[in-house]
Amino acid sequence: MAEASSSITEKFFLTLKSSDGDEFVLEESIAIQSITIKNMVEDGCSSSVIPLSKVDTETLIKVIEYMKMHSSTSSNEEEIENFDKKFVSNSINTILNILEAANFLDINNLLELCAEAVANRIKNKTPEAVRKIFNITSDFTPEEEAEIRNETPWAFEGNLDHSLD
Amino acid sequence: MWRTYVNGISGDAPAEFQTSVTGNTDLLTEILLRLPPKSLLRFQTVCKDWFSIISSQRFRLLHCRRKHSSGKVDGLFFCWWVYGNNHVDFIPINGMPKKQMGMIPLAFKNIVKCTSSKIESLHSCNGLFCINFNLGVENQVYYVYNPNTNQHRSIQLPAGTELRQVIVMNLAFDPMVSDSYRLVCVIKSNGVYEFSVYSSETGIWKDSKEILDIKQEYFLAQGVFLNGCMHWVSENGSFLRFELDSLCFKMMPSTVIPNGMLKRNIRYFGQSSGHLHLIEVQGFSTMSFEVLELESDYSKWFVKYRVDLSSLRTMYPQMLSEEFDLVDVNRRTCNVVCVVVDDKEQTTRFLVSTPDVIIEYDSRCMIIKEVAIVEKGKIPVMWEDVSVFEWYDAHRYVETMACV
Repeated sequence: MAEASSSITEKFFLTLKSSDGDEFVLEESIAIQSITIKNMVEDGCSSSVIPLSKVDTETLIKVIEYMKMHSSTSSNEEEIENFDKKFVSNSINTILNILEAANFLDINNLLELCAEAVANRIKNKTPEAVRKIFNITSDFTPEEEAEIRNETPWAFEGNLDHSLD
Repeated sequence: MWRTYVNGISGDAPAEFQTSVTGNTDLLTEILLRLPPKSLLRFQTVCKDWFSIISSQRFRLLHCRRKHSSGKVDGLFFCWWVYGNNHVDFIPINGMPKKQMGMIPLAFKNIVKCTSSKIESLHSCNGLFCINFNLGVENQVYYVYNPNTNQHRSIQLPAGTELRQVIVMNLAFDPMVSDSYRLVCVIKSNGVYEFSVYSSETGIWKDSKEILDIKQEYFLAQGVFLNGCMHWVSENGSFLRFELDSLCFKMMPSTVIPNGMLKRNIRYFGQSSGHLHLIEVQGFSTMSFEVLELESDYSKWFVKYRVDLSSLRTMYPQMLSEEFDLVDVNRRTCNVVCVVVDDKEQTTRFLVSTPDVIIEYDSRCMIIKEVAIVEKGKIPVMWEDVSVFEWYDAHRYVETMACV
């Protein structure tokens, strides 16, 4: 009896709306990997469309892909591992966007995956390349910068990566 | 899959989105915490925001803790004496660029801007070093130094040391417990050893009431810090465990001195991933030996590993001939200088000093591989052509962002 009742458990669906206005329908059990969405569901806000004003369509598609892979009981560890590997090969800007979304949606393992991926991608880069990737203008004077460099010259040695991705 | 899908995939992310990660300190911290120390030192120059995150004490501690749990060793500093001259050399273990090798020891010596300064002794603990410089007669200065960040702090000696003799200074630093460090100073006074403990948090020395007989030979300069206690081994006395909080000795089991021998022949003492290790050798055989580990409840020493390095003889026949081994009773042809327990990979690696190379022996796969080349002429000359570092010459180095 118990088995029969569980097999006909009704599936609930949620509608997520990106900042671009696109709507995506997703099984509730998958969507609640996001603690932000889970809280909304628990607060009874799930009957209508959930607006995600901080997540654009491209990013939301990626996030949903990730949540589907990581919630599905059919995907085994190896599949998940391969998926993650491929997932982090996205452009660094895409990963930064997903990281931001993972933070907003409160999906901890996605946040960790993206933070690790960004760190891996930038660890051998020059400060100049990092500034360009993060769209930062240096507010150090050349003298101040030289002073920091001279403290630990070994950190600026070796084959550094100038590329932007 | 989608109920409505109106606009299709949008193009490039808007520019302001890129800056929002930068504007979010927590998110940026998540990324920065996952970077190796060398990258962090470089990225301090990105902008003032990044500099202030990376140089903050809170970030430094969080970063230390992440790194500390990996338990890996980035290199070994060797400090040794030949005919009254001391030498310091650095051998990177995990593929550190060659140029960096010379730079760090040079920075080491540059702390004291005095040409006649000699490094008298070194003691390291989890990436920080305590260095004793000899600036001439009766002028010893002590610094705590982080070779990775090039930060240092001068340490004032405990009061009254003008009349007493500072024997050694041991550093105690455990980032998992605190970002402050302590120093244990052993002082010779009225025919006994006395102990004093310094805290970097308060900058104050506290004297212990414990005393130690100077007749016994302790490896006092090679104290091993673990679980809030400094541990010392001895060739002929009982082993010691000194608790820094209570300033008292605690129970510590010793090994048995072999029958008919006056003292132990200690070939290694150190800790890794929370385990204390000891190697004692008896007789001639140096190529195969047992490695003891202390039970975590301090009940007894037990044989943890049996290491057989005799295949080194076939790998390096010219330098490790059997003859040497027999002739050379006290001077070894190879020495364990570092034991590294890798919990993640469930193995233990032994770094072994031989005349030409530092080799690594993996206890699980029983594989021997070269990890660093020792430049000839740099190593101490001990027995004609045969010369190797001793365990007490070696000081492990881990890159750390820890503040001093």
